[in-house]
Amino acid sequence: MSFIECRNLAYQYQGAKRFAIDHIDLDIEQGEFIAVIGHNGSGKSTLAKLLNGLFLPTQGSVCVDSIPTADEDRRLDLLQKVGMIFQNPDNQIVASIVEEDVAFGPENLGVPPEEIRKRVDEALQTVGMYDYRLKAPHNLSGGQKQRVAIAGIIAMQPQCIVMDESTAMLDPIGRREVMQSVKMLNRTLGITIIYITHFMNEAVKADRVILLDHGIVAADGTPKEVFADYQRIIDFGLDVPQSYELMHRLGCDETVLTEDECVTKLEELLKENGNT
Amino acid sequence: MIHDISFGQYYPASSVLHKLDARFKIIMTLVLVVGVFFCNSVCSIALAALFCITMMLLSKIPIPTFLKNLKPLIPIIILTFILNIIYVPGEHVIWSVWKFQLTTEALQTAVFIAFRIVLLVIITSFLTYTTTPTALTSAIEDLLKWLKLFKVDVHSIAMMMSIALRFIPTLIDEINKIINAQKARGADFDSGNVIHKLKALVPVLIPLFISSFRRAYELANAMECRCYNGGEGRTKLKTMQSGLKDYIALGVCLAVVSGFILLNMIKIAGVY
Ligand SMILES: Nc1ncnc2c1ncn2[C@@H]1O[C@H](COP(=O)(O)OP(=O)(O)O)[C@@H](O)[C@H]1O
Ligand SMILES: [Mg+2]
Repeated sequence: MSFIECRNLAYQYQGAKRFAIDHIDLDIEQGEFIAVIGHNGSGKSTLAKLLNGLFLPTQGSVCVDSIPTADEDRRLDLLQKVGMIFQNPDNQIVASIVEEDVAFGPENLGVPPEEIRKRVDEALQTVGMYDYRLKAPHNLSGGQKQRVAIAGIIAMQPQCIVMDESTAMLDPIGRREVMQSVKMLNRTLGITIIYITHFMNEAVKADRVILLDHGIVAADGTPKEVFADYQRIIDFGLDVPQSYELMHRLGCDETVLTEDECVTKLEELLKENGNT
Repeated sequence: MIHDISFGQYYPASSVLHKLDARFKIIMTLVLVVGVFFCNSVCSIALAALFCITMMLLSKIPIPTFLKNLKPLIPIIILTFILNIIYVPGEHVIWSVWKFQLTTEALQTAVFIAFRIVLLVIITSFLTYTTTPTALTSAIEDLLKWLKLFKVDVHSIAMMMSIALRFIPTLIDEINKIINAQKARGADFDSGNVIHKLKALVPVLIPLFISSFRRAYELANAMECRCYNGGEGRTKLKTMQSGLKDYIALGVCLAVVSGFILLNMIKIAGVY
């Protein structure tokens, strides 16, 4: 059995005419790093909220670690297993001091104070914010605030973190900081990451990309597989990574997704041309 | 433009005052506030001022930070000063013009009251500067827990207070952003009479209101995602512990307040 299982999952907002999530099946394994992409209104945030039981399925089911999200008695377990980071860092910070904010989750779980102290310090060290533990969050940069929010989730020791466009409001430096922290969590602690983003340069860094379109899964596979058809991605109303765009315009048919690949490929092409 | 409002904001430092138990700090603040109302002589006000200066030095917080709190109160201080001079009756007339008489008694009362307001502001800012909002609200929650007998939800009230304090700086930033956005569209906030200025605030307050509701919705989601489920079964990172130092500090405060009362009896050069 997979870590997260969505079976014939559908969700309809009250009063809405169509399903925001339209009968999808999805399996997510423990330890995966998944990017979820799709144009505005394609259902990404709705899917995210279905995964930890913030929304309950209209039809079908979601199971996390064999617990159905509809199980009222296990609600807190579920919220603890699947942490969530939102877009606006200001609206998810509860306390006026960094370390007290990170402690908020464990406090709610009833963890003993000495254990909370340990978890808070470890979580802040993991995201590189330990030196800021006594600072007021409103004086931090956007990227730093999001890292504090991530620390707040790690302190609950979740198995999975869902990030709903958590880098959308950040500058490039902040985005890079957050991406690095998240990757590290995935590699070293084996936390499953579900990374919703509209930055394609971030999406290609994931192991698996899920493309949502009007509430259905339009593509699901490695970045290379999902981005293979250039025109199809454009038709979904999405951008493609810069490197891919560049190589496409140069008339290269290969799926070149990262900067490094792009450099290698360009060098190859130039050398070929130089020899003829 | 609204600039930095420092009132009610924690100032991180590691001083004796920061380390005291927040519950004791609240009680001490109340004791001192009441005590200041007893300051009725030059000597007792001098003692109170000396005490405040010592506390400022002990707190390791720069003194200008305290003075910043006083700035918005200057008009109130001046107004009460003038009212006192006019209305307090007295016998020793120093100076008189038309119906108005300036008496020693009135002058003395006016000066004392001005000093008392300043002292009150400084004393209350010790509490907010040296105590984190979380500690402050936990302390209030603890001091008021007997209200639970009367079915008052003390935890929720404390949580609301700490969230309100947490969002003050965020909302100030937002107000400034909205004001700038409206100015860029030609809104005028600086000229005209009071009515005009108040009217100009409407297009600032409406977006602020709407965005606050969105914030509240998102914050509620985020708190739920972090397993917030009310006060039941909740633990705290920092457990409140009172020790010898808290009792000593409270003792010092009581002694100082007794000092105020005793010093009221000493006359210097015929005036109190
Ligand atoms: N509160 C709501 N009430 C009604 N419809 C909603 C609500 N929130 C989102 N929707 C609709 O559900 C669909 C999916 O939205 P959402 O999951 O927020 O998309 P995304 O996060 O991918 O931009 C959209 O068509 C949107 O209009
Ligand atoms: Mg969204």
